[in-house]
Amino acid sequence: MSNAHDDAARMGAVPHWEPEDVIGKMTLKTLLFSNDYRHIAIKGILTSVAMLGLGGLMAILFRTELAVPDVQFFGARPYMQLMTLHGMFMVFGFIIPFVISLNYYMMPKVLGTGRLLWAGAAQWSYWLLILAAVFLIIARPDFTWTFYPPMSLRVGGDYAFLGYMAVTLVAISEFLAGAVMFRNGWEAARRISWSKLPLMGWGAISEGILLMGSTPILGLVGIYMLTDWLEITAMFDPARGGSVMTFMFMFWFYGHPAVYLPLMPAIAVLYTLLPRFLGRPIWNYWSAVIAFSMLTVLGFIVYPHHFQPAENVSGWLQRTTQLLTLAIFIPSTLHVFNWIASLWEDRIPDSARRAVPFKFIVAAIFFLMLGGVTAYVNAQIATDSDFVHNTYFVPAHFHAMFVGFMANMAMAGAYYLYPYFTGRMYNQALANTHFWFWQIGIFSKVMLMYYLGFVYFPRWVVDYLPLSQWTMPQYMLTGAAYLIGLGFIVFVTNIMWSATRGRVAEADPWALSDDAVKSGTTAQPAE
Amino acid sequence: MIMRLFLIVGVLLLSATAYFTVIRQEPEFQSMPAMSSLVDLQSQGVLPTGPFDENEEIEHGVFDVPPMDEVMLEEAMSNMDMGGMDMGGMDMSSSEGGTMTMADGSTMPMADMAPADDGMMTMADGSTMPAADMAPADDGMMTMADGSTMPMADMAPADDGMMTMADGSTMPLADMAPADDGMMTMADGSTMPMADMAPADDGVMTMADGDTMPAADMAPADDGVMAMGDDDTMTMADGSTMPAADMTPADDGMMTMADGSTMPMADMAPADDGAMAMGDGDTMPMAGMGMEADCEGEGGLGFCDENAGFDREINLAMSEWTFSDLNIDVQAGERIKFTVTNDGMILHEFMFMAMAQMQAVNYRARRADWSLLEHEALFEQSLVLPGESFSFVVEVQNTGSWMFMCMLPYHMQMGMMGQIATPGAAMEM
Amino acid sequence: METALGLSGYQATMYIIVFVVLGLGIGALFLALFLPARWKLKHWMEFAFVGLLIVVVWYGDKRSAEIVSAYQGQMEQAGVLDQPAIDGAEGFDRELTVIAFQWGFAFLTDDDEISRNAAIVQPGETILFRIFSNDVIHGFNIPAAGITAEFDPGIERDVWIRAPEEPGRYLIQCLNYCGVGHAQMKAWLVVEGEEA
Repeated sequence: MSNAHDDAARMGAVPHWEPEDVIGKMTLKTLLFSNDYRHIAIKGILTSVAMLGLGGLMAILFRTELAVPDVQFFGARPYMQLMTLHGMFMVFGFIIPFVISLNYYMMPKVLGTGRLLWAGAAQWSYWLLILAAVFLIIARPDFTWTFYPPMSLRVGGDYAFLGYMAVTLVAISEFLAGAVMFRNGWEAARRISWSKLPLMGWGAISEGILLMGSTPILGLVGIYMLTDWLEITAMFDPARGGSVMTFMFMFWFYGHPAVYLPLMPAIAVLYTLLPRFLGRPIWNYWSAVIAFSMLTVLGFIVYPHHFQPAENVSGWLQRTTQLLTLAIFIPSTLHVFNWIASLWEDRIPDSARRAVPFKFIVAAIFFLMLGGVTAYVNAQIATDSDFVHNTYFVPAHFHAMFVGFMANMAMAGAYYLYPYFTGRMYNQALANTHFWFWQIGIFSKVMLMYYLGFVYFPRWVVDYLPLSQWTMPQYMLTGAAYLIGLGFIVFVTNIMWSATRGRVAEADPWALSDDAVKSGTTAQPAE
Repeated sequence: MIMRLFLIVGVLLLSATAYFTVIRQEPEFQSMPAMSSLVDLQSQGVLPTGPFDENEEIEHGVFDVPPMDEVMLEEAMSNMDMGGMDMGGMDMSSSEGGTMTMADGSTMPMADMAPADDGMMTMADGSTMPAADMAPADDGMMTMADGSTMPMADMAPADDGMMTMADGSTMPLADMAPADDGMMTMADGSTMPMADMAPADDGVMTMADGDTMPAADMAPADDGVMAMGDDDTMTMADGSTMPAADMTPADDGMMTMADGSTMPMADMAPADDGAMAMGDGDTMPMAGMGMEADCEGEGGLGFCDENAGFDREINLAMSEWTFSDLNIDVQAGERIKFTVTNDGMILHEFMFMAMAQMQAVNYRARRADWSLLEHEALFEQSLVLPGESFSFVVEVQNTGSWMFMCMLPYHMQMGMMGQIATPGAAMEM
Repeated sequence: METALGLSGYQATMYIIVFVVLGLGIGALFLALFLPARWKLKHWMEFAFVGLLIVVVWYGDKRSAEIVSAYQGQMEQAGVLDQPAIDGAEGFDRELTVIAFQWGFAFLTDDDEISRNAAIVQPGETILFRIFSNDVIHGFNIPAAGITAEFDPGIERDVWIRAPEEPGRYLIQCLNYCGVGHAQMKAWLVVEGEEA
């Protein structure tokens, strides 16, 4: 099909960027104010890495507390502050901005627009997120990242209102990012035609719809939390006539698409990088398009599964939710099938096997399957009403997804772009170390959490009963967390050291080559 | 440069956040609903309004006391000094030592409880001392049968059988002189009807009513409760075990055992001359105890039956997270009728505890298994619903101070604790 | 493990399905990476694979729905869920009202006996819990019975279990974050009888 060849020409053979020390030439002024898409993207990527560090530090701290039973270091409230900040910084501060920033960097060249349209909105989006982060650090709320009322209206102390305001700021920031994504995808589709739009464009449009469709309600939720807290309204507080279910339906209307917000751009990056490393287009273009579209639609209607064991979700609503939640595996399966088929259809160049981003892509696919297939158990009401709901089974699932797929993809994108904005290659040995530390750590962590969930380990507890089926896994889980933290430190060391002392990157750092054929020529697209 | 900037800013950010979360840990905070949902449902008729009976069986059968509590109790009692007590944050650091510290600071050991014919009690160390009038005078001095006085403190002895007196001296525990009603005050202030405390050769102790019960090693534990083994059973001379009881017989003369069963104890009415007839015909001189039959308790607080008179009334209201009166002054010997009301929005409990008892459980007060274990108290009302109230009459039997609190998770730590104290005995809180 | 929802056989089946499908997927990934022979998958294979998974999903939905409606059906028939009781339907052997509060559980029996953090039941009997929250969202989970629920303040949440046959004490825990005492919000389900 002609569009498949165009696809390959656009992504498989010709590099879009040239290595350049973009970051070295940035001044404080350009860092803060420049609307050049590369500066915005680099700013976003580096900030996200810092947020990953912050969220990760929170995790290391509470993991240390949880290593053995009994309360050692943290009171109940500080523990939950760590937990809340971990969740909020990781989701809002690290993973969503990271993958969106990768898209900001890549879209102009990949989609052919040459620049990032509405870069000003992207700039605002960034700064609003920073403000939200500042509010969160000052408030240090302890009400979990899903802040269910009325509990969240009654804990948190005097600065809780900053936490609610941070939520609204995040909503506005994400809305703006969604507008930027949509605008750029739409412009490219307009210019090129929908059937030739690179998959990154489809991803951008889907992401834009998800963001713009879901964030307004999050913004409203944040505002209502504030007015409820100030006792101006009583939307969510049953003691004053409100309803918790109102919150549930409103928040999770955002909350479920929220988990696809980092997923879509990560998938878009995958569709862009895989052909580059393989030297051939994706196995089936339209399958990917259908998958993007399906996920966008389904993503909005499965959210009651988050509060399914509450009374109100019963009867037809419960059954429909179960069916749709089960059905949402279909788009993800289409993606994975596509990727595995692309890998399998022809030789994998040795250059790909050596490339660290490629390794991260493979690991990401692995974890998407792991988290996705086990979600078959999460989705069913019967099992959800048994050992899944609010035990460690749930965080096991979303860590497999957020960390196993999305964080791995974020790293793949970061390592891929690294030579392009620093002009140098990262250190291969350190990068491999980072890779293996992470995959061992993430795999252990996810499997241990699934096991703990199966044996009913509760969420959000500073201390736990010294049951034998709980103590050893918790101890090992702490070890896994430390390993992941160590991997992060290796990553930061690598990117800092290599920026000034790494090997200067060649013209095409990701040139395809097979060790037998050592040619630098471009590969031919597959028939 | 940019990378370095991010690194520096990042490290600063992480440090600041960690500092404010970890080093300057914030105290627990929980504000209350405008209205208790429970009360609302009760007014709608969906839920019953009570009064509710508390199921006693549950309280004693289901919740265990971990053995560590005793260890912590010993430590607490040995080191009851004002400085070691920081009640404000409810972080009661446990102390070292091995004797039981009483509310007023003295420590007590316990001894073998067998008074001999001449009214002299043989102490654990073999020495003897005369039985005495068991009510210490205001200065803490107790008059012995032989007219001598010795400083007394509250009667809980340490492992080595030595009792530390109010003046700091130690003596082996004595005086098991029961009061007129034949009730003997035990180390922890509880009373039990006396029998000839010298077990016969076969290890069986004859009770006043002629019943026999196998004597156990009659050295009560540090807190005055005759609990022997870790599992709260007492090993009898004949090898059988019986659950140690809270040695306070109830009004009907039935003593409640640790496992909830009851058994009859004898009531020891002394003769007119104040001497009590022992099972073996011997008599021992008794002194007037000044104790009444209807106020039983341990540790210096007696809880009276419904007909008891009282000297004054106090209304105490519970709310989140405090009591209406956190420092109540009382006089030794006074009887006070408390009416405790839950003016708050959530359920609470109400209990009286001695300082040492509180310290004994402090190590696990924030642990996950807190609600699954028993915390022993001098008095407990385990659930008070919002709007409910209950009354009791308490007799302050000694000088000293006692804490009252709600020990539901974090309630106490957030402020629900107060004390009643005789003059001069109040602790820093 | 005997569970309230009667899950054990069904659970095992679901796990087997998960392991098989996951095994297929991971196997395919590794083969694609390391098998020297290359395979160009045909487009119809994707349809077939998705079709297969749709069957698996349909099966999961069906079985889960059967179990859940049987479970709810018990309560409907006994007249618990807003409908009048059906004649001749089995009621529950015991009804306990549970009041969840910050931070503990109060159990009320029919005879107005209240106990804190302890529910006393007989082995094997069916127990209906009418759960109410006094203040914030709480959870109610009995691992040994395999049931979990969450509930908002002011509404009644009904769950029922069949008590374990084996006498002893079983854990009840709150599974929704409800404030600083959440980790300590636990209770005992006491199944009376001689412990083996």
